[in-house]
Amino acid sequence: MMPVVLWTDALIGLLLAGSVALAWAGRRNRLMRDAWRRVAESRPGMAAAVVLACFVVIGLADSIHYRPRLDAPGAGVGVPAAEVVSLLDRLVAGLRSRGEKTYSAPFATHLYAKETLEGPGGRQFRDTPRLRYGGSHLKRPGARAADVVFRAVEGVAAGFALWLLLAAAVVRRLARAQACSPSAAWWRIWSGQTAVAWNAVLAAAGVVLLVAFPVAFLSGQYHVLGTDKVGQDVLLAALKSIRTALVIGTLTTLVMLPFAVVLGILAGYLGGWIDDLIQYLYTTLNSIPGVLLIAASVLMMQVLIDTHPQWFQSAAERADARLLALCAILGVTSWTGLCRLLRGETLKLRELEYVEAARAFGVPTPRILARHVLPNLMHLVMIAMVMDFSGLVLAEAVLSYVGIGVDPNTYSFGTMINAARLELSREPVVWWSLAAAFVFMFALVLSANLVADAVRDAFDPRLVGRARRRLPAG
Amino acid sequence: MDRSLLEVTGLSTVIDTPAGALRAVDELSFSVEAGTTFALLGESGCGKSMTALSLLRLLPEAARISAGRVALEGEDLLALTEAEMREVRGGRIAMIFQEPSTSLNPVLTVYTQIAEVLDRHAGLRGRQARQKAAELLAAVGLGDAERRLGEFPFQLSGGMKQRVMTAIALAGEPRLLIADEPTTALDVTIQAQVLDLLAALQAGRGMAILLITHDLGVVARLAHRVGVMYAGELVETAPRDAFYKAPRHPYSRGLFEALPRPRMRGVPLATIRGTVPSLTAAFEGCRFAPRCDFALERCKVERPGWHPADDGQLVRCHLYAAGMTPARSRARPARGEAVLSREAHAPLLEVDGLRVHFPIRRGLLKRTVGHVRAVDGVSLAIPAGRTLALVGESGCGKTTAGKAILRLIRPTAGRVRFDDNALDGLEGGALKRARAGMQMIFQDPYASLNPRLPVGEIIAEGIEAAGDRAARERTGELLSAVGLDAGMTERYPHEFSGGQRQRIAIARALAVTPRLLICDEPTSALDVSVQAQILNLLRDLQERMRLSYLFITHNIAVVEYLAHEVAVMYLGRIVEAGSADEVLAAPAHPYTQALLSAVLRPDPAGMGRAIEVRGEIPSPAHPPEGCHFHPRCPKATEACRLRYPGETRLSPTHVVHCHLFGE
Repeated sequence: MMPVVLWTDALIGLLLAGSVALAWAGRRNRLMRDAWRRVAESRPGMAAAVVLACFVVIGLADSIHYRPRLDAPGAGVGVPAAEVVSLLDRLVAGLRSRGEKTYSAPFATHLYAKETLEGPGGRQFRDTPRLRYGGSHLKRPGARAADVVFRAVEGVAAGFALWLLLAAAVVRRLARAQACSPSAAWWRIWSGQTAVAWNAVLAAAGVVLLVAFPVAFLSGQYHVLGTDKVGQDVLLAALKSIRTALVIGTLTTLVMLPFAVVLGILAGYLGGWIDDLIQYLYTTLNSIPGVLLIAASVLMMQVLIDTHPQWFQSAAERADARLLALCAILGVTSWTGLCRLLRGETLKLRELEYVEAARAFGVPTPRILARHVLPNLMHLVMIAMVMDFSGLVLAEAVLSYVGIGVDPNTYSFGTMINAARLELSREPVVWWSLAAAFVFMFALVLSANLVADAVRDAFDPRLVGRARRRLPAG
Repeated sequence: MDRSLLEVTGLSTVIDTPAGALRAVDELSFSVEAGTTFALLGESGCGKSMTALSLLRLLPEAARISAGRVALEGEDLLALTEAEMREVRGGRIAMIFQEPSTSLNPVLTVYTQIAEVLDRHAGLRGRQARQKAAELLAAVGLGDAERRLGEFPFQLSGGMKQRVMTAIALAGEPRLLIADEPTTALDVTIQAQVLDLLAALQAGRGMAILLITHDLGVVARLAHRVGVMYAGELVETAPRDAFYKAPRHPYSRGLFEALPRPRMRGVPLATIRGTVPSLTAAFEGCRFAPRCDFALERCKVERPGWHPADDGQLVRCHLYAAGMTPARSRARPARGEAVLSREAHAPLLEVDGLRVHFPIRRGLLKRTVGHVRAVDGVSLAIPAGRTLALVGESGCGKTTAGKAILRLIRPTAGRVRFDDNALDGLEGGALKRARAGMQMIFQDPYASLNPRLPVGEIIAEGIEAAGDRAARERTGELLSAVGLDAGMTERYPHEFSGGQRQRIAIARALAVTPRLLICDEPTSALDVSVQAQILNLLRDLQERMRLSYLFITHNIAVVEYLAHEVAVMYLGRIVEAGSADEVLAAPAHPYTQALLSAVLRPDPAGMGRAIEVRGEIPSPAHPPEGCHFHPRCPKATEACRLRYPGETRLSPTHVVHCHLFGE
């Protein structure tokens, strides 16, 4: 196979490497360690982090792209295929290959719409035909319920077994770290006496495993979430949408941060005409309706891409360029809120005595900004980043629904919802596409929000040690 | 004796913290008679405010009253329902808070805020309420009450706001007034006015006052009985005069000895070693034992009970148990006069005609319509190894002057010479080099250290900025120079107490080996015993390193203890300057006289009547014509209204700006 690195793949890789490097560098900083320890103590935060981690793993698997080699007849070595696929595509190859003709409901054995069929005697009648793949192993459709339950139980058993392994590994590690018997470690975990909220982690992992395994076992023979208009499995669409959501949520922040941080700090610290200029800039930008600005930029970018097909070697590259451009556009238009916040905080910090003391020492301005101002703003940046993530995922859905989001060929929750608009007006109604998009997006955004909450509580100096702070002075 | 108005028995309040239950108030018992003032005295963190909040049942979420009885006129407050309690709060018990600027709602008029209480507790509305509100404002000494009713808090000065707060508290005709540090946020002259007002109101209404304060001077002025709190419990109760004559508990004695006084000059102040213990711990013996100089074996194992001492004092100390002969006082260092040489030196710092004017901009185009004359022609000189105290009330421009000397604020005019280098007009590197010998120590030790940097880096910053890269090793040395452990460089500021933080700030300033330290109220955020430690440290450093201090403060007691020379500032100008003995013992300017007479002495007997100073400091944007002080001056003449008085030399060192002394 031949690896292909799309632009967004490269940026995601960079982001990942950056976070690992930051974590490594911050390991020595006790304040950072304490803050992350507080995150680890938070039960809802850790449970949500497990769910979010599953989404991230799926997203990363979907970010490793390559061209598979085709076994050309007569040649010893395969020829690279034109199509770019990802690791995830390979893992769920079954889902990709088992396309039906059109809509079918979850766990269906027959198509959703009636067709004219030809009977044994050449007699024509209208009925819903059997699916090509969904439940095709069944001799008679009536045995479906028993088969589904059997496979689900199998899945639950497998999931539970894996969970037991996981729990045993955690208990073993803890028992070794605290030098106690495994049963004592087990009891400590469940009574919540551990520094890291292991009970929440294990509970969340249990739920994820007990849902994922039955679904995986069933999806081999059934379309668990049904199929869409062109007969493609909805589960596949939902899984592929995760990467789009993650890319939009993280890369946009990456684009936005430099604007917000640099301009916010400069405006707040330097004041004068620089402050005026930056304020005018973001007030003007803010006064243009956001969707309008984004729509205009996206349409211009679309025209540019459409008029230069020679820039892209494959459809995947073109879709990727469009996704990246959307991130950039969202980022450039959404830095104003954080910038204003950082400017206000810098105005406050500038008057603080430790900044004045540094000026009295003759510390140069860039150094004051880097050592005294920026570190004291980092909690705001961190909080804004995680809070914005869920907002951006939702923004992508809205934009794609309006038709100015990602490329129509790119899987995303927005395009799924957009398609559901027509499906909902059919009779009988097709509900599973929308439901799948809803459930996946809900889980993703909720877990991101809960993690964001835990991070904010741990990093915001005003919330840290709230009980201590509540004491009156005397 | 009649039944007391307020009787508190065995009150305990517990706060649930992650570190365990914190016993903020522990088995507190006291009573307050109608028409008298009971003062709860103690340093920060000893549970004074928690006691007040417990009485009103206004505790924060995490806190609860675990035991005890609070009886107001015989009725148990802890047994009341929340609805009944609302009748008590603001009605029978009212409270005045520390910070007048935050206890009034800024978007409501004075009348609305008084009327709220009148409606709730007196059932007054409409014209009646308005009339009553005007009467209340008159009662708290606010002139032109009708007009004041329609004003918003931002139109009032600090002292007026505290008067309005008092009027609101009085609106419910309370039997008991709880005053939580009522004057701590106010200037000396205003402080005296408010305390006199409280005393007058009490005499007129027969109200009981529960005074919560850390200031021995306030207690001396207002209290009838005193209760000293330490670590959540009362350690001594006494009638005021007996308490001031001879405090009994070792902690009370420590508090008195830690106060800077003029006769202590040149002698280190007594300090209480150690810190207040964490209240989450379970105490076995006496809570003060680890810090006590007289501690016996018994103190460590057995909790002391109440023992009577003479003069009606009750002391929770084993030293007063039957059969013990309490040591009178600890051994003191011998009294010695200041050893600093008095010969004249060429001044290290010379400031001439320093002015800082801030433009007032109005309108769309930000045109300058006037100037705030924060500093308006200040001249002073400090020789090496001497301390000049710049004294004045808040808003007089003393801090701005300090920062302008250091060029943290750009002066509008004037010359600054430091160590024979003129600083004016210098920029960038040249300025940095020229002022290298000056450093500043700030007021708030919590705001002056970057919370994200370890202490070692904080201290090293100045050395590195001065270009000395290999100076990291000196940080440990500097920490030990200010009395901290040299191994603490890796710790973060939040791991230190207020006093320790101030020591770190001093170490940071010393890192660049300055010759002049500008100290901006370095002890005003600290407790008395910690203040003594910092003053001792500053005095010791001066002797060892021949440092000069420009000591900016409003605390006259500190000035008396530390300063060699004093300059009194009023509205951006120095009105009187001279050696400490001349200015403090024989003040010439009426403002200096008023300022000194308003200082609260920790001694009920030695308290003369304060010279009445009307009103408050005018705005520096529109200083009065003529002498700035004439609208408030009791001795003002026609000449004072016309022109600013010139300099009159009373002695070679003593200078005053006042027409009373001119020709």
